[in-house]
Order: sequence, then structure tokens, then C-alpha cells
Amino acid sequence: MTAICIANNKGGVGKTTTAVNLAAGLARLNQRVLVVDVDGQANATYALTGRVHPVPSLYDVLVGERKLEQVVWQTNEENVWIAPGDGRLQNADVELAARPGREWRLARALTGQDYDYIIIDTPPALGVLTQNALAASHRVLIPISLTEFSLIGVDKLEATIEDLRDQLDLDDLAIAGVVATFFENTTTANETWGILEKKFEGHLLETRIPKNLDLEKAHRENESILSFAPSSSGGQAYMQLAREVKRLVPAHPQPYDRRRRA
Amino acid sequence: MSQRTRNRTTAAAARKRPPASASPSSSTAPAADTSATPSPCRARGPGGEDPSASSAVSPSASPSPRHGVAARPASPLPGGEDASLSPETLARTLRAVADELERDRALARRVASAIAADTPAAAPAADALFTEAPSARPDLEPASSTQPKPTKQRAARTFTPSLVTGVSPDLGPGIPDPFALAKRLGPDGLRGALAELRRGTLRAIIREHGIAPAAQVAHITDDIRLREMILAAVLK
Repeated sequence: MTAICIANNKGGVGKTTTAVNLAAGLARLNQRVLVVDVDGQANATYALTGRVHPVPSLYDVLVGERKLEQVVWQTNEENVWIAPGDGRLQNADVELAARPGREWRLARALTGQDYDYIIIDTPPALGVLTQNALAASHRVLIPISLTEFSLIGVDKLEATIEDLRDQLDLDDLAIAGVVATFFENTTTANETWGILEKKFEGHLLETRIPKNLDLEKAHRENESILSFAPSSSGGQAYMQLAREVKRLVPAHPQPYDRRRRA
Repeated sequence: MSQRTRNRTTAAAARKRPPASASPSSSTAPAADTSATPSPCRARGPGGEDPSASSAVSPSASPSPRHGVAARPASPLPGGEDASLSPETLARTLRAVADELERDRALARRVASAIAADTPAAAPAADALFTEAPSARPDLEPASSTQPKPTKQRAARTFTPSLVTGVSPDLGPGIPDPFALAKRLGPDGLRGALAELRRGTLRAIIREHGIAPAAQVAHITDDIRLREMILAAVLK
């Protein structure tokens, strides 16, 4: 099993949309996928199940004493399961701050789980929950919308990944790729793309997710874009992204063990 | 076309033009950068094609030896002739308009509607504006027929925004079981529960509980029909 964290400390760049639709795409490539919703907004949970802040949830695993399998559900997408989030996760940073080994709680909860991929959706912040997600992951996928502001937070995210790698001895935690979202063929977007190409040399994924209203509509209907409108530009892009990610980050055949080097 | 629109469209065309030799009538204006080689930053279609390739114009294809730079505003010709009417200017303008129609889908529809309205005999030609390769602009709806299409009434909105409360916790975790719900809530309770569910959950119920094959429901976008399928299976 291979765990991929979808992270960017900037909000609104398409982390949840990418997590949901990448999971659905991998499922269509005959992979069994677990989505872990670490975000207190729990949008991935809603997008895949229609539930809003369900209880019990991942909160009860990270902060409480429940086992992960007690909260995992089948989602509306075939071969996609979810460890749902709920609003209580928004306080989890504070509640976990004083606990020893607070960055490892998610990794410990996932140990022994037997899926092909784990896709972790994170909040737009670099707090304890995102650190848990990064520590539990083998790779990081960074969605970036091609705007001026998106370029500002990227350095901070890279620095956080570097720091965690050093502090937690995660020398195999690496960036799987940077994927452009909300892409439109404008001068600004193309120039920003050029900047990212130089900065993330070798990591910028070929797939670019276009701005597509169907992506929002799919969330509304509690299904992935691949179920809602597979032939839309967003649907085609996310299927392409799934193929690209599967090629770049193959699923490890063994059950999850974060101590295993990817 | 207003001068403002002309300038905007010619500027857009200039970004796609290959280099051209300067026109002797416009030697004082700086040449615009109209490289024929697409920028590595230029967006490509899903197939990797360059969407500007079809609109690129080779200087050698121009019928006139005077290859004006597209971005340069028209200036009087040596003989005092109005340059805005010169064949080269007209050609550049029409190419720029075509590029804009290709880029701006809404504009293309308005133009096609206007053509179809004014010249019924040309209606098939207007529809041909929307006939394009699927890989070129996958986000656009391809033309399904070259026949003149009757004016469509806008479909009634099937969704109006409202506060999201989500699936009722009473339905339990995971994909709701309509058979268990019918036993617990009765037929009317099941109907009420299904009425709150969105398309994704309805399809998942049908798939997971063997009501119909997933491939069959994948094409059904009518939520009412999906609910009826579930009710028919549970209440038969």
C-alpha cells in the first residue's frame, strides 16, 4: 500500500477535489483506495458520501481510542472507502498538541490496513493534522492554482516537508508531483506555469486540471466527476491524473507500514 | 467591429502569429513578437496538440509580399489609400475574428444564432461552426447534427442551492440499505428518505444492493427515475 498526501497550505486550490477524483480515478484502474479526511471541514466526506460531520469519525481515532476500521465506510464510488472527518477535527491541533508522538497518530492508526492506495485530504494549514498526514505518507501531491497568491505559500510547504523529513526521520517522504488546477489558457496562467516549471523541475505533472464547473456540480451530487460527467474536461483530466500518478507512484503490494521505506 | 475589439482580437492573434517581415508602410512601429514556435508554457489540449496550431499562419501562405505585423495598427498606405480596407488588413482582421470565435464560445454561439436568424438558408453553415474534433476543445459540446436545430427551451433548473445538511444520520453509515429502511420506516418513510439523497448516493444504493447493474445506472441522470427504481425493487 502507498499513501499519498494531498497538501497545500493555501485554501481553495483543489485539494479536496483532487483527493476525491484521484481516488475515484485510481479505483477505475482497479485499485482499492482509502480516502482519509483529515480536514475539519470534512468536504471530502461530503463529496463522497453526502454526510456532513458524521460521528464517529477520524477524530475519534486520532484524539479518541477508536480503531480506524470502526469508522471506515464504503463511499458512493465503487472500490473507494473513507475514514470520514468531522468538525471536531478543527480543534484537534490543540487537543493533540501536548500528546507525545502527536505526529504519528495517523500512521499508527493506518498500520496494517490493506488497500492499494491511501489518499489523505488535508486542511489548508501546516498544523498537527497536516503533520500527521505528511508523516503517514510516502509521497506528497501538491495541487496549485496558477495565481499569484499560490506561489507565495509553496516555499513554506516545501520547508515544512523538509523539516518533517529531518525531525521524524522520513527520508523517503518526497513530492510525487505538483499538479496545476483551475487551469485556463490565459497569459497569467501560462506565465505562472513557466515559473512552476523552473521551481519544481521534474515534479510538475503533465496533467493540468482545467477550470470546469462540472467538478463543483459533481460534489453537489455526492459523486466523483468520473461518475457525474466522465467525458467533461475535468473528468478526462482527472482520469489522466490517475494514470499519471499510478505510473509515478506504484502501489506497494504489502499492507501499510510507515516504517517501510517507499 | 469597434476599434477596441479589433485591437483586442488582433493582439490575441499577434500572440499566435509566426514571425513576419516588416511592412514598408509601417517601418516606424516596433515589430511584435510573433514566434511560430509555441511557447512551452502554452496550454495544450488533452492530446497534446497546440490549440493555436490551426490558426498559425505561415508568411509564405500570404498572397501579398507585404506581411504586416498583426499587432501594428493600420496606417495609411503610400498612395493615401485607407489601410483599414487593404486586403492584408481585412485578412488579418478576419483571422483574428476567427481566433476569437474559437476561443470565446459564447461569442461563437451569438454569431451563429445571428447568422441562422438572418439567413435561414445558411443555417447548416452556422451549425458547422460547432463541428469540431473532440480532442480540440473537450470542454465544449460537440455538434451532434448538421441539421438546423430548433431553438431549445432552456431546461428547467434541476437544482437550486440551499443550506447543506447532508444525509440524515438516521440512515446510518455507509451506503443506505433501502430494504432495511423500508422495514424500519415503512414505504412513506423510505420515500421521504430517498427524497433527501443526491444522485451519487442513489446510484450507489442501486449498485450495492443489486437493483440494477452499475453500467445501466451510469447513464441515468434523472434522480426521480433512480428513486423510482429503488422503490420498485424494495416495495414489489
